[in-house]
Amino acid sequence: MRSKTPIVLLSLVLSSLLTILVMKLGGHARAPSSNSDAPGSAPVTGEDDDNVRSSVTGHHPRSVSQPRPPLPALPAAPAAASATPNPAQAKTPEEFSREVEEAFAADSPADARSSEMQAGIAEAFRKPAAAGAVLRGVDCHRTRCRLTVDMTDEAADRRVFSDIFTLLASAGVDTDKLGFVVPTRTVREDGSVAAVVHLYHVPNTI
Amino acid sequence: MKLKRIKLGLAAVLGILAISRVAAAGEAYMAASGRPFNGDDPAQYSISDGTVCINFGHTWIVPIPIPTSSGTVTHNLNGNYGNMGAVQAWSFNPNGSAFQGVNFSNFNASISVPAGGTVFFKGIAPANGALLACVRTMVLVN
Repeated sequence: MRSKTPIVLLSLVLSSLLTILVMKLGGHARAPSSNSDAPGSAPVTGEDDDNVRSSVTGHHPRSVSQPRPPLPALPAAPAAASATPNPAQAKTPEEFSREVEEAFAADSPADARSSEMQAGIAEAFRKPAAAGAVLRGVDCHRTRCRLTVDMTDEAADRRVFSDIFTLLASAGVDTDKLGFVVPTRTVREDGSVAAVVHLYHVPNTI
Repeated sequence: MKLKRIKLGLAAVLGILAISRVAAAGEAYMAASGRPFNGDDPAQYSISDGTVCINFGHTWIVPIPIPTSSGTVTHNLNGNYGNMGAVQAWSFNPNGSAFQGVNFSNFNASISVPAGGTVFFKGIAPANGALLACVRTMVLVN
């Protein structure tokens, strides 16, 4: 009787190849599905909005002129191999802070707009909405600014930063595509908070 | 006999395929899984199926579940919305303080999240205007 080993081995090899193939096809096939109602499909129309407004809550948002134009079509989401980032990408707070500082250091030198931005930030932190926070220093390069901020306590920290875009906009800072990150935050023994804050304009990251 | 072995092999293949985890491109969260921001009046919002429409001057947030991590991880989000005044992604430290906030650009945002941190999408309707601001989905791309 012939051995069964070759057939079993062949089956295992085939199964491995098919598994890899299906995983690859599955990843590609699912990428566009996240935006399936965006490009190339029926947009939300004024009629849809009417249905929305007459349901569930029973309350109607403020009346708007009819008919409404469709909502804008959306670009496809960038393809991704997995919803779970590679754990190797996880950075320690020190690594992350260092990367942010390096990005600031590598940014182009300040120009006239940087000076305007710097003045706007300083003005924002003088407003009543920034009560409890003191701007200790601000330095703007071409697309990034670095701030050092002291706050009386963690409550002031949460209050000021939860509305930071509004605060900056109130002082004339252009918040379109603006981002902030607080890579370093220290709570002192007396409960006050010292934070290093970076502002940047997208498409810059971190 | 040979045919039986081939059938057995095919059955093994199908079994392996059935238990294999296919990589996902991302996870989509419907806008209705969110809530009004900061105790806002629910009457300012209307929800139907997967769409939330927001009255002028009001804000809707959608918490985005993310995998826990031992360090700071950068995630990418893609939004499906229209006529919003501003759309932002925010991440928070475990104690609730803000870690990062960023305005979406071309329906995408990149947001870093510290260990044990959280993320939400924040859709802010314009202060006024003629178009209804609506949010449909938020996708955790990776």
